[in-house]
Amino acid sequence: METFKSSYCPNYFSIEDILATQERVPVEVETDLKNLGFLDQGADNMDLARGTKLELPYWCVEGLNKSDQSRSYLMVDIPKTFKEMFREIMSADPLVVDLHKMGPYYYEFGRHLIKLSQTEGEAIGESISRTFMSRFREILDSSQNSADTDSLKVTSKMDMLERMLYKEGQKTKQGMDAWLTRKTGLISTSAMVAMHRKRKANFD
Amino acid sequence: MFGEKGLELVKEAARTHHSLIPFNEDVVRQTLEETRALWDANRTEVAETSAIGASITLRHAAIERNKRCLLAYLNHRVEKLRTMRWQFGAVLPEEMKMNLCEPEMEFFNKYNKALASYMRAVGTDLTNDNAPPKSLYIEVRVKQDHGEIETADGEVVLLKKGTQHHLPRDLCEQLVMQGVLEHVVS
Repeated sequence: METFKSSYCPNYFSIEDILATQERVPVEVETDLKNLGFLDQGADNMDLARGTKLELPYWCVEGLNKSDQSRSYLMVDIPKTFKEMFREIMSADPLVVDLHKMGPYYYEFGRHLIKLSQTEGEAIGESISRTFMSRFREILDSSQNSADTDSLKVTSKMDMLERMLYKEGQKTKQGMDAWLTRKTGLISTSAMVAMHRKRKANFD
Repeated sequence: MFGEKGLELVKEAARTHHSLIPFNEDVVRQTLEETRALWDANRTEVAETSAIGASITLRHAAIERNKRCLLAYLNHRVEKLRTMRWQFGAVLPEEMKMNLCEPEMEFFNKYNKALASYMRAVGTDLTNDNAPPKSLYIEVRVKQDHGEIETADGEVVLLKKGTQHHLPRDLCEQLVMQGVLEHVVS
């Protein structure tokens, strides 16, 4: 169960969560922001004028919003892959959508967006949980039936969370097979050692 | 843009799951420098304007971000080191040691000591028998020369590459994990 050890969001050290919060969010500047002209790479003014539209990483937006409740610097929009049009595509047929392309951490990023938008947050939350529910069946099914075949074709459309589940499913299947063929007593070389040896073999 | 160096570290950590690559001292230093520069900029701006504006808030967010990236990177490596203790055993291979930085080395040694004293206190070797054993003796094939080992009843066995032996399980489990021996099903 090693892969689940570093679970997502509330975990400060989670590598996945850091990468997910790097995703960009479109925002519109609400008041003139002094000395922040560098955020808009197209223009070279010192200040950021009101009404400028730009895309910022999620952590920037969160940082700018949370510190001061009384006034907000930014009007936050939702990335287009979470907008209503895409949500409709999701509800039409969740299985064919390439989630990896829509952001490798689709669900995690979606969960962060819920906090960000009052108007659409709820709809996003519902959409991602529904998408996940219908896709999960497929993940479970394919992971149980392709224990040792090339899985790239199946996993290429999955987001990182789904890939993790898929791998975990395959492992369970392998464990079950080993048990059925009475091979559980077999000791094998540790994963890191095996990797190390492979590397070393290249030098010789 | 702020926070890019820190992100580089995190990406590097995400890439390397089964191995430990050299400590990226260069980028770590650059991240620290960036953070320090941001901190100084904030201090001077607060001193000048004595109000907290957007740029200070943004810089502060970047400082927090850098901190998180750095700590996540270090934590990832320490986790790796911990698993390495269980997989490689108490002594790391020379090439692996070169990938560690000084404090990491120290951590590994201290972890080693803590684990050893705990195992002494409870009186068992915790690294043995990770899975419940099925038999007392197992059949192993030697994958690399390892010299001689002595079994509990005083018999000396020479582990020479390519030979096959029937040995007590507890004696060779470690060696199988370290890749010296291979467990074969007879």
